[in-house]
Amino acid sequence: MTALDDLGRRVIHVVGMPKDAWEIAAQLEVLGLRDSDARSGYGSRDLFDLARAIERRFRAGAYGFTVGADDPVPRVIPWVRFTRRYFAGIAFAMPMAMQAASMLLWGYGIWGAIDLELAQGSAIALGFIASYIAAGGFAQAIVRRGLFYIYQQEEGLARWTALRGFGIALRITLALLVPAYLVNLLFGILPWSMVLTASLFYAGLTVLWLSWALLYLVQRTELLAVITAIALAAVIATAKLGGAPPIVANGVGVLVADLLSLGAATFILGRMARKRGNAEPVNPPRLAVLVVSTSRYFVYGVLFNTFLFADRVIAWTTRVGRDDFPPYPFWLNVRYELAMDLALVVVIVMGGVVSYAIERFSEKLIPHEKRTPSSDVETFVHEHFEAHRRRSFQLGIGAVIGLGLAWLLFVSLQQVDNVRLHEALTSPVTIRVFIAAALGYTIFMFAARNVLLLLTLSRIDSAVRCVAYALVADVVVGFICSRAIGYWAAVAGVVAGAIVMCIVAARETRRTLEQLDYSYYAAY
Amino acid sequence: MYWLYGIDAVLRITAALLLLFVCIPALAWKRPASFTRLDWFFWNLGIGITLLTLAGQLFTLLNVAATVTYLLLFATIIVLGRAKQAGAPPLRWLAEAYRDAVLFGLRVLDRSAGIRGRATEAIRGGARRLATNFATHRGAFLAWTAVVAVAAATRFYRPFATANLGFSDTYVHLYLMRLLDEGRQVDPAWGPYPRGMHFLLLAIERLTNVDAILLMNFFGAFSGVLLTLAAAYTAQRITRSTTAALLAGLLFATMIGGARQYFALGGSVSSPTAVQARQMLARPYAEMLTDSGEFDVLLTAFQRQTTTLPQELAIVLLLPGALFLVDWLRTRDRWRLTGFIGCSAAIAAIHSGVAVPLVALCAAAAVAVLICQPRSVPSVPSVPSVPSVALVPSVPVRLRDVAYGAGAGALGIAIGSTWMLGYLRYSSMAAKSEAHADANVGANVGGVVLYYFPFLRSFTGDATGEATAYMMLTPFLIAVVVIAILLGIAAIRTREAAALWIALGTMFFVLTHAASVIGIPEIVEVRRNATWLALTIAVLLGVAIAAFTARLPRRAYFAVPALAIVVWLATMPNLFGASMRSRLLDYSGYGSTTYAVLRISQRHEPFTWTLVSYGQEYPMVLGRGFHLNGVDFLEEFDPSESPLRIPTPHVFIAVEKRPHHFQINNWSTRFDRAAVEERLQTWCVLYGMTHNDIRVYLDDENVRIYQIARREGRT
Repeated sequence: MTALDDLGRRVIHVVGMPKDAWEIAAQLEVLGLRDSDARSGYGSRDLFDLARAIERRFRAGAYGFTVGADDPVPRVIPWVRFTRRYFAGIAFAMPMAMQAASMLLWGYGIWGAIDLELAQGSAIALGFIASYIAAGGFAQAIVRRGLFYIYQQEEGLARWTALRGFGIALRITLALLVPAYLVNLLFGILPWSMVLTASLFYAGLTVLWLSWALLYLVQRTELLAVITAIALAAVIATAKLGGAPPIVANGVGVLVADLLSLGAATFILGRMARKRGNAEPVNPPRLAVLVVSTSRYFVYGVLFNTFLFADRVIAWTTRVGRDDFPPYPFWLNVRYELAMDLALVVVIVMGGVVSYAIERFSEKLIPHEKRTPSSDVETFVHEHFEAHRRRSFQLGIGAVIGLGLAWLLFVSLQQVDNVRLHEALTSPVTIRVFIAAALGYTIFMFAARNVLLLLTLSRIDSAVRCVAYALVADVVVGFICSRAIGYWAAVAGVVAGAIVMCIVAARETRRTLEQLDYSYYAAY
Repeated sequence: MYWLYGIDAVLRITAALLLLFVCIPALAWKRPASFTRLDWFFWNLGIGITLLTLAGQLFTLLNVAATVTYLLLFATIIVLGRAKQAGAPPLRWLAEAYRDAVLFGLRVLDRSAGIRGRATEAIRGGARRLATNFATHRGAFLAWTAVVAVAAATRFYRPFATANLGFSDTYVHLYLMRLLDEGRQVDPAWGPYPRGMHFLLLAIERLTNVDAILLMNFFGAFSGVLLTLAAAYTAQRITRSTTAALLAGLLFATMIGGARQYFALGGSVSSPTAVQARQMLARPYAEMLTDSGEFDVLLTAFQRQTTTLPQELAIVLLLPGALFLVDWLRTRDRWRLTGFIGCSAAIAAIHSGVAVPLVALCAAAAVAVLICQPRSVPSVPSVPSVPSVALVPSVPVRLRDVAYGAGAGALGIAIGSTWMLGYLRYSSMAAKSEAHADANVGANVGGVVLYYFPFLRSFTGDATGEATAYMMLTPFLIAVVVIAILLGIAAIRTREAAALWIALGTMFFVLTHAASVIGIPEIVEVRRNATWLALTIAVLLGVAIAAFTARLPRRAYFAVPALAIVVWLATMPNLFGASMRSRLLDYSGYGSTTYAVLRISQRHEPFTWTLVSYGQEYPMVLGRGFHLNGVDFLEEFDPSESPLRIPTPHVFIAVEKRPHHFQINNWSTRFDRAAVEERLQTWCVLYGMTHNDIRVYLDDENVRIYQIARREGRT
């Protein structure tokens, strides 16, 4: 056995079937060889020359390497797989759907009620939006870093990171109340009763979102629906049986949801860590390292959540076109909110298709890459492009169905025997906003599919870019339209933002797919 | 309570002005080496108001003038300025700044950099610099503090003493502000109007959330203080002497009018003939008080400086703007030219009428600089007859340079006059609108032109219907002319253009003041001439006394200015006396009514109340509640009907126990204010006899506010 063959066997033993000479060269470097070693020990010009020599010997069958048979592929019925994943994908919308149903049936949601005074409703809306935006970045960071450790089977570290992230997030989000109070004290923007109500709901909902992030981290999203159901029951019982005012009942609901979510999340995290036997983290990362490693996800989360609610903030901070004389700079408009909520049906319907598409992409990517030699990159990329187009077409069908269902719901609700609801649904503002929002959300879901694909490949910078540009377009267009035309025209921002996000995300995705072989390596 | 409102408003306005014209410029650009702090302040004031006007026009056109928009504008200015200074494209500079901020944040997290330590060091360093500066320039610091303090005391007295907005024009400006809130730059009834001041006020309001009524009541006093500062700055700039600044500043700050200062600018009456005018003006001051209205020219000029009026704000930039031109002609420093353009633009944007004295002062500047050409070898003047001017002549001036400067000024005026584009839209709008069918655009514009330029009236048969305003040419003014001539001669001898410029400017304004008396064409409306005349007189006297002092022995160096100040202060009227109070305060209505609006809007939820009053409070109530004027209310609502058909839960009725003398012009012929107030009082009494939900909400010697509070009302 020559020294070359000896080395070749060592390399092949580690890398398996080499994709090309580059992979062998990389492994040679890992083994600590240098160009001088290649020259002195193996008579090659450099490491690359040595790698090519080993590859030639391998292709000639010098190392007797055989590829084992593939694992048996379980027989899967495509439509069953699609259905299962589709419904798993739209599970995130369950709490929302349950609250909408509860609102229609009993007049109460967890953080809303039909009989709420408009001032209280506005305060809750403010608290809700602020908490969603403030917690968004932290939720992304916690989940991302937590999953990173879980994939490495470091559940103890995952638990430590998640709970530390939760603690930091809670402290920072609550600390944000101090400047908010100071600003209100200085500028007298809202009456203190509204500010205090908004603060309480802000704090309660922030805890809820962060707890739900922990539940997502431990992959127990089905608990979201359970907790929502219990919290709704608590709200209805407090209001109907206890005779409490709606605002108190809502407060009780949020508190119950908080306690249950946080309790469940910490319990499951602890159990996970104990099960693995590494409950105590070894050498946990420094705070600065934690911040650096999650900062871009944090930015992404903040931007994304801001994008989702920017139009509401813009619409509810102007008096232009409003016939209800909003007394304060932030004043909820029920018709606008109703229209936006109904348009969310499109998001729910398409969400399942997006979820399915991303999962299929993930599960097909690795085996596909493994069995494709590097000389055949074009085929690899081409096939993924084709799959991407196919999934775009599927998403298009989902969009048509989603739009149809949303319209059907919109029309059906008009038949409900409720004068206020009927008035709200038939108002020109509601119809206009609904149509524009449905269109915007449809485009947004195409963009979201691409953004998620980018995130799957860890292209976080591209994802941030997409959302940032979209947010700028949303705010600029929404702000100008809402002030120049009427508050309801803030929805134009959603449409503009979605279009921008769609274009930028499509461009970034195309670039990523064009070099998918590299993107794949760079991602993991 | 009103005092607290006032202090709050003053602090907010001060903070906004500091942010706009000190902090943002400091963050965006380093002060040029050739600029003093006040040079830089007035440069920023001129450029800043111009930018705010242009941005405000765009923002209002899109109806997006909000806090966030203004903050974005300022951030853009800072980023552009910083990037330019760093020599990098703005986006790259932003990316680098972001990177630096992130790195700093990480260092803080790693405890390798401490915020507390840096903050402490910065505070200590700032305190050290302040202490050193104070020790070095103690005299100047005290002098400037005195000027500002005296100006503030005299100007802020009126708004602190009453909530009434002063001149009735201010109500109109408040209404125009409310129109801007709705994104309308053109008032449908009156057409386009220069909105520079309104855009500045809008920015202040958006940045500080200051109450609009308080803003309108207090901002005028800020203009007054800035005017004083401009006078002191000009004197200091011409002479480089703090004494001159102190003298000019204190003189102007205490030019209040009244019987004891009547000798200065004298009186003014409108009369068909000069003979009749002379007879009227020959009467003693006390006699004039009874029937001559605003006859005291200096008092009116002072009153205007305590009230929010665009003309006074525009005049703030008059002398600094012209000084920038003088300096540019002599040094060709581009910063000075930009300052001149900025000030010209701001003046045109705020009040076009002030462009006329600006042109006059620019002409004086050109003449002065051409006469005071530099010697062949630039050198500091050796004869200290006039204290050395701020800038030593260094560049020969040719007519071509003057023409270039004039072009720059015209450019500034054009930039500031973009509000006139509103006529393009307004002409078609007014032509189509039935509601404004009587709004004759051509006649309106023509009327305004004839009002500002009275000498044109002779060509049109006096279409304005204004009688000629006659002013007194007092011995004091004649003495001022003599002093100006002497100073001018001295300035020519020492080739000090700035001193010659102020002398020429003052003489021109004195001539304008006396135009009707000496029978020369009245180029500018003379009553409007008073403020800039007073301003130039203060500067001239400050410069002249300082120049005179420089020739005296050392021991008299402080005595002469001190004596001059004491002599002048002896003429100062008692602002707190009954006579001055009656003429300064509650000029256009009772402050109690305005205070009531403030209290109601602070204590009641918006749009839950309606105010019934004589009528002036309408713009104050807009956007907060609802307003009904007394006449309409009396015609529409019967005190015996139940319930009252006004839907808001609260109805407030303002009744004047002693009807105020001020009447809204177009109403006075139809409704007598006293009659309206009496009927309102009767209405309230009758209502009280059949209802038990009426009570007195506020009561003083002049005004009683009734409140009707109903549960069944709706917002």
